[in-house]
Amino acid sequence: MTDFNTRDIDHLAALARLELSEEEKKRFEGQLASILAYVEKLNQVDTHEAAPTAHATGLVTVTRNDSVHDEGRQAEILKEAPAIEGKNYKVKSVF
Amino acid sequence: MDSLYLTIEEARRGLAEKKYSSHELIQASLDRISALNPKLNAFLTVTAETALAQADEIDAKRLRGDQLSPLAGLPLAVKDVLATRGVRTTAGSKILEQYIPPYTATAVQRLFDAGAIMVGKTNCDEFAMGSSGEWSAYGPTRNPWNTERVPGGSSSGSAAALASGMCLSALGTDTGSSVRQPAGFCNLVGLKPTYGRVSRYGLIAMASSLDQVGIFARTVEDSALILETIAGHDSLDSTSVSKTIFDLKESLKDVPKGLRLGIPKEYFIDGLDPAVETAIRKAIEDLRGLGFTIVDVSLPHTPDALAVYYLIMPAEASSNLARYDGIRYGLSLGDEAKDLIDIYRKTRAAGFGPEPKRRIILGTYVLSSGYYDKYYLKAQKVRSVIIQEYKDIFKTVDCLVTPTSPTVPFVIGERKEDPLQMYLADIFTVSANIVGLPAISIPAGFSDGLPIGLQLIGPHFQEHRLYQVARTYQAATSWHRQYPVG
Repeated sequence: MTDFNTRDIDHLAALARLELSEEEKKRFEGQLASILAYVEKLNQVDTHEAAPTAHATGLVTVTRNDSVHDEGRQAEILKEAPAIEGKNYKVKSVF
Repeated sequence: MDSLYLTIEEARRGLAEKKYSSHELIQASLDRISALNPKLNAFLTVTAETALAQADEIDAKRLRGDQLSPLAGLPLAVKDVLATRGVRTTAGSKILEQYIPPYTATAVQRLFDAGAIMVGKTNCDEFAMGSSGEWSAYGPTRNPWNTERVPGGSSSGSAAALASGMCLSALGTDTGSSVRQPAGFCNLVGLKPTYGRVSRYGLIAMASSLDQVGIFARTVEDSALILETIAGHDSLDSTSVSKTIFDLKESLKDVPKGLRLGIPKEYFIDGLDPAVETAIRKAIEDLRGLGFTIVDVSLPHTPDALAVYYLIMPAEASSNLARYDGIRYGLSLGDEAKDLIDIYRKTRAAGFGPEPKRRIILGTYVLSSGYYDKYYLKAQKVRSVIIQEYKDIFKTVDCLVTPTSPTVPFVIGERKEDPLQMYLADIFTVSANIVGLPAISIPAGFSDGLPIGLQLIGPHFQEHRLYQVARTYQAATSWHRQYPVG
């Protein structure tokens, strides 16, 4: 069984940069506990011989030249930002 | 023209024989949307003006006798998780309510290049997270067959739009069921291609190792035509492949005799609606009668696939959704925040609905220090076991036949408060995503007026096999010719 509690939810919400209401925390706690109980069944599967999947169809890492393409869309892209200064995104102070 | 209950093939003929113009075809689509969308909520954005202008251009070309592209002038719909340059793309989320992408998804671009006309962007569960269409931030989509019921999800609007005669085909995306389950619930042909068959560029990512662009169509032939148009390698998606796609038209002409169809016993379980089981068993007998060899097989890890899915999917989703930070695009609550981290926290709290939040928390948990090995790594190992199980089974059969979903479309609201119940709706469809296999849902009957879908699952890159079996069944049945409303 899982030992999922409100303190965990607070910690996870902080890691995920997500503010949750008290009501959401309570609801998720119960729901996530039941989902985690459901996935416990995987412990029955013998995986000693199995490597973790990297790619489902067996594709190996694909590389390409690291080259720059100017698609001339800078203005279009910046237009979507809530706050810019010149050609830069404008953000609040980090601390 | 009141509705577009036409196949692409029929519409192309109508255009070529000048029975109607592209303008008339697009207008019929727009009129149908105006008439039915207030009830069905299938479209979030309708691009009437550009669609009509494009139709006029194509009509002028046709009049001049120019060579026209294969999909020229045909009205298609696109799920709102596929980016369209200059056209608002919400992913069914408030966090992208005003987002105008500066680029177009490759699959959509390839449809445009083939002359198709987009009439609008369709409703979906938020970030494609859901199996009913109820998790859209813009309200639920309703099933045209019974408006008290869900159309399935997450590509709810694409399914409802095509099923109600608003367009001729529609793109969706499928991470665990999101094309096949709504296709089954709405009596349509729904294909999830092999992972890598279609570029994911411009597909707003949920779970990148599972996501694939899929196709809603009325017939197998229409589905094949759209697949040929959108498939192939794309330098903008390094997981897309250039594997040859079999000439689907040719392969449909000559279906090999005695293809072996496996019936996995783990897909006929307690909880399978008896009406669904009856219809699928009947379809299997019909397939036997059509000359296929029916073989009972076993895939013992089938029940584990859903558990693997509900670990890997939220893990990838929580990573992918980290990009919605209120800084570069989308909703921002910057004015109310005290510092940078506070912008993230407030923007994400206000912008995401319950299902993305739930998956972000679950995904963060299974990836977090101390739980990674227990949940995420374990899931990826079991995933390998499941992949091997399917590889082995395809040494003995050409494809698998299963129900698409365990039930008929359920009543709106019935499962919304119980995520686990909702997740169980995907139990027959997630394996194809876990293993990266192509799979298709085709119309296979009704129970009290509600559609039932039959799923075919094939080996990697063998979409033509699915089409061959599906086309043979379609030719012998008339389910796909039944339409829900006027």
